[in-house]
Parts: sequence; C-alpha cells; structure tokens
Amino acid sequence: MSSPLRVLVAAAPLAAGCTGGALSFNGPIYFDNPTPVLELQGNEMIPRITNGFSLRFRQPTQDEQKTLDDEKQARGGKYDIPWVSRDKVHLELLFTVKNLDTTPGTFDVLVDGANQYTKYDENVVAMTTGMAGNANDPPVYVSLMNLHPSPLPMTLDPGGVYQGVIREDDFNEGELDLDAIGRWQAPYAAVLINRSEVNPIGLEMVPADVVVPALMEVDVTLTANKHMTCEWALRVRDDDDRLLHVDGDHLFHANPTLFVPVIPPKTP
Amino acid sequence: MAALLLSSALGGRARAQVTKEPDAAIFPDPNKFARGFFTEGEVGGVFFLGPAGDAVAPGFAIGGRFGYDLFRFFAVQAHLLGSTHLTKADGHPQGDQLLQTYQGTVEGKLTLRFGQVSIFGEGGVGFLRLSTNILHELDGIEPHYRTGLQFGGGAGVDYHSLSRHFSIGLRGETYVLHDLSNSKDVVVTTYLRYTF
Repeated sequence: MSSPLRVLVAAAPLAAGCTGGALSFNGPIYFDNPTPVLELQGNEMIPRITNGFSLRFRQPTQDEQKTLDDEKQARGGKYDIPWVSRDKVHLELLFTVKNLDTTPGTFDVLVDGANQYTKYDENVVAMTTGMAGNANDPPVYVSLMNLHPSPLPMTLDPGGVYQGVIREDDFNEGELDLDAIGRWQAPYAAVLINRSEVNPIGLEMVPADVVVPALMEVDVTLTANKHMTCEWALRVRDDDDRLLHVDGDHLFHANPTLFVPVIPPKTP
Repeated sequence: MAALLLSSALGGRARAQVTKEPDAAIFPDPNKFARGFFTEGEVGGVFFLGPAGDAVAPGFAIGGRFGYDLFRFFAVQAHLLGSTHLTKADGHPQGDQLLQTYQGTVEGKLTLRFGQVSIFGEGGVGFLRLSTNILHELDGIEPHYRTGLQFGGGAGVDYHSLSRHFSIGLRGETYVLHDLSNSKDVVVTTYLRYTF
C-alpha cells in the first residue's frame, strides 16, 4: 500500500468519528417565561393576559463599534446600524397551551415586543384607535406576531394540550414590520397584516440595504375563553455572542420609543 | 572400475537428519498484529440514566479515539464522542428540542487476547459539553456553564481481521456526569480500529 493511501486509510476511522458536524458550540440559549405562567379563567371582562421579558445584551467593543460605524458610513451615514440585529440574533418562541376547563375552549397566542429603537404594544394601539373610534365598538388588537392557528380560533378540548412554535422566520417578519413602523413610518396595520414576501405594502420607505434590528423585548399574550394556561420559552441563537454575560460585560442600554399610532382627526 | 560402480550404487543421495520436532504453527499469531499508535472510529448510541434520563431521549453517537499501545496488554487513549438527542418534556414548551452532547476523555485500556479475539476494559476521566442550556431550564438539571466533569469506563470485545492493521469491535461504557446532577450516560458503539 502506498504511503499516502496508507495514511488516508489510517485516518478514515478517526475522520468518520469527527463527521458529526463542525462541532459548533454556538448552540441556542433558552429562556423560560417569567413566573407565574400566563393563566386565564375564561370569565374575565377582557380575557387577555400578558407577560414578557427583555433580553440583556453587552455593549459592543471598540472594534465592534467601529465596524458598526463603518457599515453606517458605507450606507451614506443616513441611518443607524443596530447593534442587536436580526442577522446576528435569531429568536424563536416555543409555547404550550393547556385547557384546564371541563368544556372546550378557544385561544390564541400573540407576541409583541421592542427592538432597540421602538416598542410595540398592541394594547396601547387598540386603546388609541379605540378612543378615536366608536365607543361601542370592541377594541381591535393587532399583534406583531401571532399563532394563526387553523382553524381560527383554535379550539382545545378539555384537558387538551397544544404545543406550538413561532419560528425564526415569523420573528424575521415581525422584526421587519416593527422596524418599518418605528424608523420608516410605515402604516402599522398594513405591514402587520401582510406578510412582506407576499405583499410588501407599506414597506416602500424601508431601504433595501437596511440592517433590521432584532427584538430585545418579547411580550406574550394569551387570549382564551376558558380556563387555560400558557407556558413559553424563548430560544435565542446569538451568532456573535452579544448576549450579556456575567464576566465583566457592560450592559447595552436601549430606550425604545413606544409606538402610538397617529389617528387622523374626525371629520365633522 | 567395478569398485567405482559399487561405491556409487551404495552411496545414493545425501539425506537431512531430523533431530527435533518442528514447532507447531501458531495461527493467528498476535505477535504479527500491528502495535503502537492506533485510531478508531465509532458509531452507536447514547442514553442517559438519572435526572438527565428523564429529560433527554436516547440519541445517535459518533466518535473516535487516538491512542498508543504501551504494551500488548495496556494502552492509553484519547476519546471524543458527539451525540444528538431530543429533549423530553411532555406538556412543556422545551420538549422535542435538539440537544447535542460532546464528550472527551483520557483513558487507560487493559486488553486480554485470545488469538484473533480480545476482550478489554477501559476507564478514564474527562468532560461533557452540552450544546444548549435547555437542561437548566428543565428543572435545573445542569448549571448554566454547560461543561462538566465526567468519569467512568466500560468494556468490550475486539475481533482482529488478520490483515495486520485492522480490527473491529463492540464496546459499552458508562460515565458519571458529575455536573449533570450526577446523572449517568451509557455509550454503546461499534468501531473500526486501525493500528499503524
């Protein structure tokens, strides 16, 4: 056997042993929902309950800040490059809804949140639009993301459990929508209702080369007409290790502005 | 002339003298098996016992070893193994999530050979690395740092191919995962070994 072939054959078992992937240690990080878990009895006046938390990120290093500045200059310096960006921080929400009632009930799971520039709260939006409309009309809640069960609303039998995922691509869409609303004055209802790859209505002002900020705050709302609970966990893939760690990192502070829709004055 | 012919006829052909029975041929002869540096590639499965066993399903494993035969009966070796699993958390959102484990150990290995077949025992100490923190979220089974100490060992059987360098085998090992609530994992693999 020739020497190179011999070495190849010799290395084969070891190589086979190492082909379990690139042995990447950049695994996702999971965050549990805050306690207590979301729980509704189903007989509330407004059967909605929300909890959430903010992810904590470290400040960029000098080199990283310089990279951000360079990227900004490369785009003409017209807008910021977010430190917590969608292409570096990937989110996914896992949730489990349980019907603790003795009769079937319906539910939905909705997600709002904030990036480093803008915070979106469907309750504030519903209240604002409600005040401008007919007082007898029920409030209209438009979330950044939702379960979209099929059929809608999802019915859960007594004792039933529903496990669902709001995937990374759903977050990508919601994060684009939030940035469009916050930084680019997009009409919120149009961008939230439409999936951008199907109908990009409202996104005309968003630059093609924009770096979309990721959500730093995630708020989950459960709606249900029976006694139900919702447990959830957030799965974060942090490509560049931007989450805050305890070993001497400095906290990245963000002060997102709460989005409040502009309501045109009523015409007499 | 007659004397010459007589001596030629009586002398005949010279014959060798057998003074001792020849040694019996030993087959196979383990002394002809290669010895020294070796590599192994292995595939198999990993399952957990203890608290981690309640949270992690059995999974597929792939790994390798590199070592050196100090003697016919004793070797030292380094072992790396990766395995992939799904979490078990019925009724909780953390269920059915992918989890990879990476294990590395330094081991000693004792071998007892019976011709073409040998049995061995091995043991060592090393680390276990988890790809995510999900076992922390599942009832705090692991600390946040995700890398912990492990120690243990196992045994197996090796079958030599008689091609000098190659052998195959089956082994089972169990490790105490010190920083995973003292859970254990059991590794069962089949391997291909090449000795240089």
